[in-house]
Amino acid sequence: MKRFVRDDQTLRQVAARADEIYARESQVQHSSTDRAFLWLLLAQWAFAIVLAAVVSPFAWEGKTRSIHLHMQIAVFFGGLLNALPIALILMRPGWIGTRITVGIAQMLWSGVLIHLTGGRIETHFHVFGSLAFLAFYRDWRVLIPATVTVAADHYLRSYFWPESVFGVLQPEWWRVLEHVGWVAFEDVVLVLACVRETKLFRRLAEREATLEIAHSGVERQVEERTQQLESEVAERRAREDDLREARHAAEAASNAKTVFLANMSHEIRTPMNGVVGFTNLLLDTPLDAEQREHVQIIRQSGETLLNIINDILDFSKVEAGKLSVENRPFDLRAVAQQVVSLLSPQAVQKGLYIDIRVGDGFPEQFVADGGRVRQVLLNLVGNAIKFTLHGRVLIELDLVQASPGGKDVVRCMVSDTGIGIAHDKQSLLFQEFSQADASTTKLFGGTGLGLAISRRLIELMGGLLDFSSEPGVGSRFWFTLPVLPVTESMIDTIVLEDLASPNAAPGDAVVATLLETPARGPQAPPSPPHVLVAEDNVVNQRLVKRMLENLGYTVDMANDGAQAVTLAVAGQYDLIIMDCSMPEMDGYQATGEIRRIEQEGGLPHIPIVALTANALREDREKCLAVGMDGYLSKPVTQEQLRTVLAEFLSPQKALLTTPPSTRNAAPVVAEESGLAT
Amino acid sequence: MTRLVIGLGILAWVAGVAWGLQKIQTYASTPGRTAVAPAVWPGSTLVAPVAGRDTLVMFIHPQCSCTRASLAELQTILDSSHGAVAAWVVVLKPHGMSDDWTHSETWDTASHMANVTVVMDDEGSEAQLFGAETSGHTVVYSAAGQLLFTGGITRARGHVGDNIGRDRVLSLVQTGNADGDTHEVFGCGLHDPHPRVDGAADDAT
Repeated sequence: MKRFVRDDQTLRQVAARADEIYARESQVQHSSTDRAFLWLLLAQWAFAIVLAAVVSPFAWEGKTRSIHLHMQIAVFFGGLLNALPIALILMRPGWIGTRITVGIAQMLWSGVLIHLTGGRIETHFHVFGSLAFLAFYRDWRVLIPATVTVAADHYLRSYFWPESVFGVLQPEWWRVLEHVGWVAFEDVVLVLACVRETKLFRRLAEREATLEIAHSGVERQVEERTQQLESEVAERRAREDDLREARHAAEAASNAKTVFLANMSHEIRTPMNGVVGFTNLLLDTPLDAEQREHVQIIRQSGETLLNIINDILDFSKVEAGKLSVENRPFDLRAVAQQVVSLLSPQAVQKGLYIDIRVGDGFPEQFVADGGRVRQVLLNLVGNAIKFTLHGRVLIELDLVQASPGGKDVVRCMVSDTGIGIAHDKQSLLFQEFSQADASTTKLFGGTGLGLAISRRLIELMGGLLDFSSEPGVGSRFWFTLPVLPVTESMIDTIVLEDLASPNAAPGDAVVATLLETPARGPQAPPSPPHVLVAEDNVVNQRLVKRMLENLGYTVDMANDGAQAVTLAVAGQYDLIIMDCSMPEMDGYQATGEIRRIEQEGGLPHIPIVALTANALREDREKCLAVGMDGYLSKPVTQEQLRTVLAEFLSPQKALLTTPPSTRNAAPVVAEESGLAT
Repeated sequence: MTRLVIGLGILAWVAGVAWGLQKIQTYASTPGRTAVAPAVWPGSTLVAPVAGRDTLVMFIHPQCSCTRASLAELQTILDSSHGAVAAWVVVLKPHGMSDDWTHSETWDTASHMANVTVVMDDEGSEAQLFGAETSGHTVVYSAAGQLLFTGGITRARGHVGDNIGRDRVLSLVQTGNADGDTHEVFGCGLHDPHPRVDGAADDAT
């Protein structure tokens, strides 16, 4: 109890509740004992009537009989004895007056029985039995009037008629005391039992009260805790809803940003296509030295701007989680050579040496995303050249872990003798839009996205990209890649896939075309390839037309998709170059319409190559999905046009095209990926 | 109102119970009628005295339940007399009643008592001869035919136990002397009801 009861108020509550419980239990006990006595009184009455009927039913005078007085006593006096206690039991069960009356009536029954049996000692046991029965009330007060009744009955009878209680004519004076003494002895025993039982029931009541209050306390706590939990759950759900809404908003914002970037890329690429394209065309014309230098500066600025756009596009894809890798066999040494070749002019211009060292056992080919690796390596080497004023840049390729039957791990390290990175700035190196020093941007340019993108790309391929640097001494950037070695079966599969792919290399495409469509080649001397260009932008119309004419094509122009469909169906075109974004009917719809007409009319398949400023990978996939055969992203060079168109023309016609004009060495603009930042 | 009803009920109950107890007491302690017994053994009787011994005759009603106590007291006397008295029990057979009516449990009890002779008293003539009006009436005559005792040998109706009548008879059969020669009789009436002539209680049966 002390464990639960901690204060006076609770103690008072327990005591009050214990009183209630005790009173309730006492009432139950008294009432149930009342009912027991009800049946006992009725049983005694019935027994008395039966006994009188058997033993002395009639009184006689000669041969005349009448109802014996014993019978009348049994019926009427017995009924009278029972009347009051039974009435009280029925009307006031549990009342103390009821049980006192019951005790007195019971003792009167004892007196009558003792009298009628002439004071038989056996009949006296009715007194003791009745007193014991009265003890069921657990109320010692009941025993007092009952005992007084017995004592008075004995006293009066012993005075007036001693034989009726003692069975002898002249009992000793102390016989009354003896009888009463035995009754008193039993009373003492019964009173002690009543008191003990009362205490026991009191303790039980206190225990029950304590449990009830403790239980109610626990229930209250449970209820409070439940309400608290419900409140917390509701709050958590609200937070989850808020988070979900915030996530949806963030996703929507991210998508909006992606769409915005894609649109911006498209909008910037379209005019840049004109700038770079016409700059290239301008460079093919006779210019004096100053003019040529100015034009080259324009072209370089355009290309730099395109690189920035490509970086931003890559970064947006990284953030959107849309960057994917294509694992194909490739030769990292060859990639390194390409990168060196590509960036050599810049190195030479700064008086730097670029070397490649290949470690022992370095695999000739392995499976990874060669395009992405090339992009990263281009970024690292470009940075090394950019931040090195004198000395050298070294590319080292090593096999750091060979796992027969599993993935090998290769490492590519680019070290330089450049300015290095201050220690306190090194932690910022892989953060987006940050460079080691704000002044760096002014000195060396760049968006600060290159390394962040490179690290994401390497991590996407399961590798690690890290660096070490010492200011004034130089830097080392390296990445490791888990790669699968190339097997012969893998090469066969890939070759077949490449042959079937619209992206197959030019030579492969020629072979494939010859094998599949032997009848396509013209029997008569071939005429120049006739190309339809669907393009809504006037500048780009002029640019593409000029390039195609330089390549030896004859060109028709369509201003939108609908016009392109009309001309394609009416004319005999060897190839269609289709801009994707056009008014009224865009390039996708136009391609679908042309393919439908071809199929329904049994017309030959005209190759359609997309030329679009939409530079994302999914844009290419979308083009191929609607029925286009090739894809070129703006800005496009004359060389790219020649190479891609040659894939889709018959060999004879392809041979008729003019080789590309001689032009200054310039980095090839990748279709999707940017170069160094 | 309820308390008043209960209080009145209790008062009525107490009064009723007291009245009842008094009635019981009165009934039990009210003796039956008696008549004068002949001082000398009557000549024309069914009971034949035994020479040299006192003769005890008890008149009983065969259906009287109170008589069981009288027979019990008779047994006590006989047990203490050691054959000094010849005992007779005369059982009433009123006019018009069958033998079965007479051969009751009381008859059987008396028949099974040692040294007791049971005879039937047609129409109560023997009882009238000895002046017996109430069941349990006992008379004791000496061997010489002199009346020694007349009356009952119980204290009350149907009550076994010490009483003056039994003690006087016991004293007579044991010592030949007693402090008295009569006692009240408690039992049923042996004869049909008739107007009271000697002041006996009406309710004595």
